[in-house]
Amino acid sequence: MNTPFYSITIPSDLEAMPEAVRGALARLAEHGWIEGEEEFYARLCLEEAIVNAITHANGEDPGRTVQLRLYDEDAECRIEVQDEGTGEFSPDAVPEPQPAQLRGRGLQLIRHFMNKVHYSQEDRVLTMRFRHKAFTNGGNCDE
Amino acid sequence: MSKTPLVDFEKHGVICVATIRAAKVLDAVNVNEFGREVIDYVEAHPETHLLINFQHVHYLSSAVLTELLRIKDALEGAKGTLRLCAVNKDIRRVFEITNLDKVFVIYDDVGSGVHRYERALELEAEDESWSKGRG
Repeated sequence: MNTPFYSITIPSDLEAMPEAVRGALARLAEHGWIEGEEEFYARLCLEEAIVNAITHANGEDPGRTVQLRLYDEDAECRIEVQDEGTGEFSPDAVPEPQPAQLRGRGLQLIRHFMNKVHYSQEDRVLTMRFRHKAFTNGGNCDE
Repeated sequence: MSKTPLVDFEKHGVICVATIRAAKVLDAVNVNEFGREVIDYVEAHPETHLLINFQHVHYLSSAVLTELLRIKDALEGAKGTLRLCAVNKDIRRVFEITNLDKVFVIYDDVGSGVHRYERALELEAEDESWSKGRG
């Protein structure tokens, strides 16, 4: 079992998110996964996933937490965002939003940059994988 | 002590420029504050032609895109219009990825934005008067 190179647990409070994301971005840069302007888009994907976990999955319940973990995996970086919610979620069941539709753009952005996006209902973990230069060229998510 | 507003509103002829001055980052943490300030202004000033100026904003998340769509609806419900200006290249790419560059008119900067927005409104008014004339 791979050991994460970054791991943090935060309460279901949006105010706790920026510090967790800052730490993750610093470690992603140290591990060579992002550089320069790629930070903007890496931050976007991390925040969209964490906001979904805090608001939709955990319902901003202060008694529930969100865990963020980052792993080196050969040619890919794996990001895991674990919630403590009870509802069901399937990224595949969320269609691309229509132009004037209010919701669904966070997942649309994640799919654009990530090579793979998967949610395990059993483990309550959203797993996102990306390769080098995914934030420059787009990841063309295939899962 | 009252909190500094995120948005400054300034009239330039028929256009109202809403400059997001007090935040370099707009995300899920402060999006409600941003939306409330703009919607409050729109409700107090019906028929506003609003140009939101992003020149000081370095980063925004999808929560802000949702809020912009809400603001657009609120403006259109109050016989107003919404356009955007001065987004940096990263933010513009976010609009392109989400196809919202087809929903919002985005000008390069405030100066050309005000000028072109005014001209667009003049042309719309001319079109409308022609239509009425024909009817």
